[in-house]
Amino acid sequence: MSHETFEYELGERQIAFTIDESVYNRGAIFGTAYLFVDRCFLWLSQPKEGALRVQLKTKESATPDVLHALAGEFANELLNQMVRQQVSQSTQRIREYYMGRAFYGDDTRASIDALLAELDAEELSEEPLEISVPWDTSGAGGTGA
Amino acid sequence: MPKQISFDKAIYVRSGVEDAVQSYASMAQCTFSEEESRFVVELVANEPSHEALIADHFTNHVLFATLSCQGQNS
Repeated sequence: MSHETFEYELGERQIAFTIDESVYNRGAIFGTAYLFVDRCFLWLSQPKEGALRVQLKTKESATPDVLHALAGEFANELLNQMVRQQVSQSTQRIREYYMGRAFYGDDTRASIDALLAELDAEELSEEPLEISVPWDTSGAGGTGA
Repeated sequence: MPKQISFDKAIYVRSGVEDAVQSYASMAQCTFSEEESRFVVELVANEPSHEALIADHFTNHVLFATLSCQGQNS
């Protein structure tokens, strides 16, 4: 049976179709299957090299239209997974760069002493509220809360 | 009559099938065997009326375990 160019096999509560692995890679297929595990029962097989057969079985009774819609959702999610993979690959280097900077940035700037020195360098006496701070022992600040 | 479920070795991993066999031990007697290109499980549910449903869930469990292994290895 086919609908336009989508060939599939219908059974009771189930629909099966074959995916060309040269179009959708194994990772995308597995990622899609993972998202459908809670919705239906899945069974995967490899009828021949480069092709992966997916059989979806609904948990409750389903009409042919429902089954066809389910297969269509699976196909759409396959495309989504492929795009995710492409975006992930194209941004891999910059993500690694930012992660590296976040975890292994310049140590001197991250030190507590450096931060305190930075605060000391600020002109706190011009603070309009004159809130006292622990390291200010001059008594110039106002009373705290 | 045991329900036979086969899992293509090109798709599923052995540990996934073994994990499912252990997880469903309280609901069914599962016999695991291995052939050249597939893993085979013969399942006999404790409650015969639930056998088909248990087999379906068993299949999903194997898939989920396989996907988990793939995620750990990536």
